[in-house]
Formats: sequence, C-alpha cells, structure tokens
Amino acid sequence: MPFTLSRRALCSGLAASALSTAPAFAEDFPTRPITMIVPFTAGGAGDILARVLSQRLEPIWGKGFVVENRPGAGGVIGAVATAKAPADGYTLMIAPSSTMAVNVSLYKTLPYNPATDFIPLAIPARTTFILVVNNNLPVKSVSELIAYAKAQKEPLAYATAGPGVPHHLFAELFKSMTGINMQQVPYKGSLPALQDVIAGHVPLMFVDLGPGATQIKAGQVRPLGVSTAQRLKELPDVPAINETLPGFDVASWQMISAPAGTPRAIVEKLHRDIATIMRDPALQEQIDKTGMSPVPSPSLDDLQAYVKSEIARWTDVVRKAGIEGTM
Amino acid sequence: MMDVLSNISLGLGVAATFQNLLYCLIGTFLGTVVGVLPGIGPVTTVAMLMPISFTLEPVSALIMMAGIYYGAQYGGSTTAILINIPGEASSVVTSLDGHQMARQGRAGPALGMAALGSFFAGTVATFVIAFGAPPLAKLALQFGPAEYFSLMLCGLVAAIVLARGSIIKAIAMVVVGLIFGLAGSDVNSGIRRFTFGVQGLADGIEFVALSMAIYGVAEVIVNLEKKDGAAGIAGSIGKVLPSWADIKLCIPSVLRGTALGSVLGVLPGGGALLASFSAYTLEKKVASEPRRFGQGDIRGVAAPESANNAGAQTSFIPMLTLGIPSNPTMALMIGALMVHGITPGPRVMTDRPELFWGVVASMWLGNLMLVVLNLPMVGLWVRLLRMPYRMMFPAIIGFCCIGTYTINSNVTDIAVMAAITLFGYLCLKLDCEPAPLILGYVLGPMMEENLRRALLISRGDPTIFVSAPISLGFLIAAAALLLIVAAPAIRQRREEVMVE
Repeated sequence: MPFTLSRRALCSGLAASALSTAPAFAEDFPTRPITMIVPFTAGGAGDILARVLSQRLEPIWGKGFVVENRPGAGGVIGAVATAKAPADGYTLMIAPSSTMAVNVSLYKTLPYNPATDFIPLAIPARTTFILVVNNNLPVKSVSELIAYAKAQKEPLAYATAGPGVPHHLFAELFKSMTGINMQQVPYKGSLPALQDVIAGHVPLMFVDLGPGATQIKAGQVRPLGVSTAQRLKELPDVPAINETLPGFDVASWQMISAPAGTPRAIVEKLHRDIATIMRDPALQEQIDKTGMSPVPSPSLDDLQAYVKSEIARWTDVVRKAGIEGTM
Repeated sequence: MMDVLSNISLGLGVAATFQNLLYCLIGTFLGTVVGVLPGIGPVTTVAMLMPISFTLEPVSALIMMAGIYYGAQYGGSTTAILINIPGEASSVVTSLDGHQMARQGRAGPALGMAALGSFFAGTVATFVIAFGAPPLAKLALQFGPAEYFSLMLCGLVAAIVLARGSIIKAIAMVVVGLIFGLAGSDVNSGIRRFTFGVQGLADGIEFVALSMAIYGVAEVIVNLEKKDGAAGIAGSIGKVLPSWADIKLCIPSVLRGTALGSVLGVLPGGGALLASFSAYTLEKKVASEPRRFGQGDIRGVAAPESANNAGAQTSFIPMLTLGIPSNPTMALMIGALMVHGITPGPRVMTDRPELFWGVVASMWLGNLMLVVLNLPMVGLWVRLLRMPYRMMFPAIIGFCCIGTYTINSNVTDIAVMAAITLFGYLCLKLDCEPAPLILGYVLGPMMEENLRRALLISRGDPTIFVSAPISLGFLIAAAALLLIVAAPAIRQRREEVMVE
C-alpha cells in the first residue's frame, strides 16, 4: 500500500532520512522522549510488557519513555496510528501476533499492511497456551479428549477470549489436525472464559499461561497439554500436545516495531539496545513471572522473515476455520 | 470466628505500618482527585503508576492501587452531585437526586451524606469480605451465562420501574439504550454492526461520550435556555453537613443499600452498577412519599452511594479469591501483582495471608481516610457552585470534551458526543428520563452476550434459562416486578373508567 502514509509522515520521513546521512544522528538518538503505542487498553500482556521494558530502556536512553494506549477495533486503530506516525524512531508499537500476523487474513479490509508498514525490532516475549478441561470431564489426556469428542453426538463447546484471538485459532488448528468437531463460545477476555471452564459451564479451552498457571496449580482445572513443542518449566508434568499430535507447535507473541521508512541507523540502534536489555537475567525473570516467556532477540532480517512466515501460517489456519474475511 | 479475628489482626498489623498507611493515603488521595477530575479515571492512574509499583512491596502496591480504585468512587459522586456529570456508570443514579439537591442549595448535605453512607458501607463490606469471601466466591462461580442473562433481564425491568413519569416513555428509552448498545463489533463473530464503516465506532459507542452528552452538555443547553442566568443552581451554599434529621431519615436507606451492594458487588461484570440502580429502585418502592425521588430526596443519594461503595469493595472478592477481575482497574492490579510473582487466585488466601488480609484491613483504614479527607473538602467543592453559570458552562463543556477524548484518544468519540447531545436535548425537551437509556445501553450488550453464549452452550435449547434454579429465580423476580408496574396502571385505568 504505497500511498497510505500521510503527507506529514512522508515529509518527516524524508527529513529524517536526510538527517540520517549525518553519522552523528544515530549516536545522538534519542534527543526527546520515545512513545510506545499499545493498541489495546491498559492491563493487557503487551501493556504490562511495555511498562516493564520502559523501566529498563529509560536509563539507557536517558529520555522519557511514554506508554500510550490507543485501543480500539481489535488493535487496528493503534496500528494505523503507528503506521502513519513520523518514521523517526520516536514512535514505536508493541503489538501481538493478532495485529501483526492474523488480522490480515481475518479482516475483510485492514487499513494497514503488517508486512510492509512496519519494521520489526524485537519479539520480547511469547505466550504459551495450555489446553485445559473442567475437572469433571472424563478425560485425562489429549488422546482421551480426542476419543471422547469423537464419541459425542453434539460438538464439544470450547471457550475463547473472543473471535479471532489465539484461544480461538489454536482450538481451530487443533480441530483441523484431529478431525474432531467443536463449537466456539466466545467471551470478552481470557479470565471470564476460564471462570466458566472452572465452574463447568463450558468443558474446555486453550488458556494463556498467565491466568491459567495459578488455576492449574490450585487444581481448579485439569491441564491436558501445552501448545508449544517443548514442555514448560513452570509445569513440567504437563505434556506438550505435540507429543500426541506431532506438528502442533503454536504460541502468541508480542512484537516491537517501528513505522516503515525509519532510518536504518536508528532501527539498528533500537534493535541493539532492546537486545541488550533482553539479555539481562533479571528482566527475563520479571517477564517470566507475568506468564510470558522472554525471547532472545533475532536479527533484523530474521524478524522480517518471521512476520512473513507467521502471516502465511495463520492465513492457512483462518482459511481452514472458514473465518477468512469475516471481520 | 476466632480465625477471622486473628486474620483481621494480622491484616491490621500489615496495613497499619507507617509505610503502608502512607501508600494507602497516597492511593485514596489520588483516587479522590482523579474521581473529581473528569477525563482521568482510575484505570489511567493505575496504569501510569504501574512501573512505580514494581519497586514497592506487593502488599504496598496493592494497597495503593486499591485506594485509587475506591477513592475514585468517592470522588466520582462529587461531580455527579455538583455539575451533574457522572464519571462512572455507577454514579448515574446519584446525580438524579444529588444534583437536584445541589440546585436547591443543599449540595453540602448531599456530599456529606454520600461520604458518610459510603464510609458505613465500606466498613460493612470490609467485614463481608473478611467473613464471607470463600463462600461468596463459590456463589459467583454458580453464575453462568444463563444466570447472568436472567439477572440482567431483571435489572432492565427494574430500570423501567425506576423511571418516574410515563412508563411508555421509560420503555422507549430502554429500547433506544439497547439500540445504542448494539453498535460495534459482534461478540460472536466480530462482524461490525451499525458502524457505517467508521473505524472509531468499531468498539461501539463509548459510555463516557454517551453519559457526558446526555448529562453534561445537553443539560447545559437546557440551562442556557432559562433566562434567569443562574440556571437553577442555588446561590446559597446551605449547610455544609447533613443535619441529624437527614441522617436519621437515611439510616434505613444506607442499610438497605449496603446489603444490596455487598451481595451484587460479588458478581464479576456490572455488579456495582446494578447495585446502585437497584438500591435506588428499592428506596423508591419502600418510601412513603416516592414522589419526592428525583426532586432532591437525600435518600436517593444515600442508598445508591452506599450500594456502589459496598459493591466496589466486595468486587475485590472474585479478584482476590478467584483471580477474576470485575473491571479494567482490577485487571491492571492483577497484572501488577503478577510482575511480583503473585497471581491472584484461590491460593492467595492460604499462600500469602498477609497480602490478602493486609489489603482487606487497608480498605477499612482507607475508607476512614476518605471521610477525613472529604468532609472538610465539602465546603470547598460547594463554593465552586457560587461561580456564575456563564463561567461554569464553558468549563463543563471543556471538561466533557477532554474527558471523552482521553478515554481512547479517539476524536470520533467527541463527534459521537456531539451527535448524542442533540438527541439528549430532544429527550429532555420531551420529558424523557435518560436513566433507563443508560441502563439499557450498559446492560443490553451484556444481556445479548450472555443470551447467545447460553444458547451456544445449550445447542439452541431455550429451556436452559428455566432449568437452572438461580436463573429461574431471577426470571420470576422480573415477572413479579413487571406485575408491580402493571398493577397500578391497571388500577388507574379502572379508576378512570369508574370516574366516567
């Protein structure tokens, strides 16, 4: 989408690239506070992550670090605001896989292009999901669940945090890989959905580790498997779904990106600085505690390739689930 | 019993340390300030303070954040009474009688009664949490989609009962509220409804835009029409504190409000809001002169204020015992606790008793601080009303615009507010009460969500609503309420027939 950038953004982009010919520019950067747009309301995973990171980045950059919540339309409003912001490195965004890789196939029209409107800088964390069932459901493993679901006349209901979110897509992927029939029951958020699984109103769901871990440890719900190929160190007894269903390896992730057109020198500096703080074990532990897993920073080119491969992968899942272009 | 007492003393030991008292004071003070200032709410404040909370002890952090949350409930009623701008849905009812009192020069007693009623409710609710948290948390788990739907239905019927004047108009306003609530993304499919392609409407009509339009801006327009300039706000301040007669009149209302609020607050999602609405309805039903409600009856301030404060407090029960936040502010608190490695949930009470009981005890101390902070401030707030109206109204409109914009940093919301203002003005001119509209708007989407969720779970079988006992109970209550509304109308018609 070549002409979606506003004229103002284009001008400042040109101005910035003109300035970037001076080698001192990236050295001086930043000379004023940096804004990190969170395209969701305060309190979500990305928001908490942004605030945790801001504590580390402020001392390095010696400038303020402002977390700005621009919620609305499932992250679209914040993403558009970032894409249209001046490409000078002073406006960044932290957004989840839905914004960066899923919405592009899910939405009929998306007013931004995740592959070309942003330069990915880091994936500070990803979130593993756990397949949990109500304690009274007579299944103890993934294979038992598959057999149980196949024996039912009616499709099994599963709870999600809303249509099109990872909870939904992971379950749809599970459905298509096992051939069982399940019916989505959407909630507004992970916790209300989990509450109804605990109470037995809905038999199962894919829940993100943060809210899920405590309830699992307290024995309120029964975990059947984790969504990633490796087991989690927090829940060593919970097998990976992969062990029963080879090839099942999914997680949602949070990505920091800058608007396309940001000068290369600044992009490299931002990438380097974020990679530096991400190596700090204390920060990794802090991220661990929020129910996310810290990710070591890949190179800039690998990040770009990763976004493209994730878009391709989720387009396929969205298509198989029959929800392409429905939002 | 002994257990609870020893737990409370453990909690007081934690909450009454110098450091935690200080954080409690900071929290309640900040809460009051952001509650009074339109445009910045408890969510924003807690979010901004989050990085600071990482460096605090988890107990201190939670004490401060909780203080901001219930402090804002206090502050919110101040603007509702003084300038008729309810910052939160739960203070909509407070503005009905509270603002009328302010116009009659009784802003002082209204504010004073709100503070005293809230303090009493807060004290009782603290004990409710201390004694009843585990069983009440189990009750909240019993509420599935079917139960929520029937509860909401009951609430909507109550909204019609609540309205003064014509029942037909009240029903019409509820329906308009439901239609407003339909705009936005469909919860099951994400398909946009009534957004006309506008991105800013994808999440529906913003509550703050709606309430500021109807209560703030439309009200200003109506006031400006009046030639007498002062536009109905009394020049005299009146007594600053409620008289003993006022207090005596309000004692039963406060008790009923507290009881309702303590129970309904436990339900995640909309509990505190339902509490204030139903407390008001209940008062109107039991009062000997219900006509005075809506015209500045102090009981119409005392009951909902007690109910929403009790509800705000007991809404900590699902958060602390189940890890389920009732609102965005609490979701943030959970986030902050998680960074400290504590996930609120069933194990917090046994694993971290000092955290649970410390926070519970701090709530009572915080409520005490709020009374001490707020009673002397009443005089100051009331003096604001002396400002000439020609200076007040630009300020009110300014605050409404700022307040609406800052919620989502979305210009569309201001345009929505302007459009709804025209509609609100029309309603005021036609003598249609806006309160049922607000309740329809808030409850409608939740009702729809839960209705569709319940039917998805039951595979389309509607008997799910009557086969669940709690749900059936609410449906019967709704039917009974409808009969109460219908009965006087039938009687009246009979009387008219008799006259002829």
